[in-house]
Amino acid sequence: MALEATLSVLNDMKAAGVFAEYAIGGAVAAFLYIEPAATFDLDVFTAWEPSEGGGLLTPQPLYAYLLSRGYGEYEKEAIMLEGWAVQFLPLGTPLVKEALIQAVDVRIKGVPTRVFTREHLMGICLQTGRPKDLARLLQFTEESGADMERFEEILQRHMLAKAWESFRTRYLPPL
Amino acid sequence: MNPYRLKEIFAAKQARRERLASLPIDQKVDLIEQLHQLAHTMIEARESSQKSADHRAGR
Repeated sequence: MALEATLSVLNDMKAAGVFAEYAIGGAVAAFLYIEPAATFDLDVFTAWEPSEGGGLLTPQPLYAYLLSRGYGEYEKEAIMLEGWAVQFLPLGTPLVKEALIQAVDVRIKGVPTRVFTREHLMGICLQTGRPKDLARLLQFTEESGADMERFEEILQRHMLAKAWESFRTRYLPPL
Repeated sequence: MNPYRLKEIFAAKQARRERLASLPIDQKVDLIEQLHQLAHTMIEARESSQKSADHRAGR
């Protein structure tokens, strides 16, 4: 289940104009910064808004494109692409939208792709706020060497400072 | 358990986490792929085990 094969499909979709841009978020992105653990899904955030160069209003053309290339197997809400269950996710909040714009270019086994920054992933963990997200946020603070100044700016921009203060008081040792 | 021993264990775990967190990206991806495969294997084993249990129970 080579991740680079899945990423190549995503790059082909972008080259074909199926979406204007994409970036990897979720667990797989997080595991590029912190200690990896088991996961099933690859979360792919795509710009579904119309843009000057053309973009999607709905994800329907995305699935039609994949079906035309033989990808029609689903696992719950994800589509199977080269052994990975891929979830295509919209830019649901301004924070996620910013995370896509500021995602970093990386190469995974020679295949170019884009990944959310660790600071944006931390902000999304805090904003989403499920127990597993908060546990992951704790890992980020302990393991990832995050740029805390940059993180604080993200918190301010997206009105998460209060949530961070609450998290810090509850889970982190006093400064 | 001796608290000093526990302290050593936690320190070793933390050191392991930090080492794994800082692996080069392609090594990390290898690890993620192995864990991905392992997760599927475990789910398949659990489903197979459940089917056997259901069969034995006549369900």
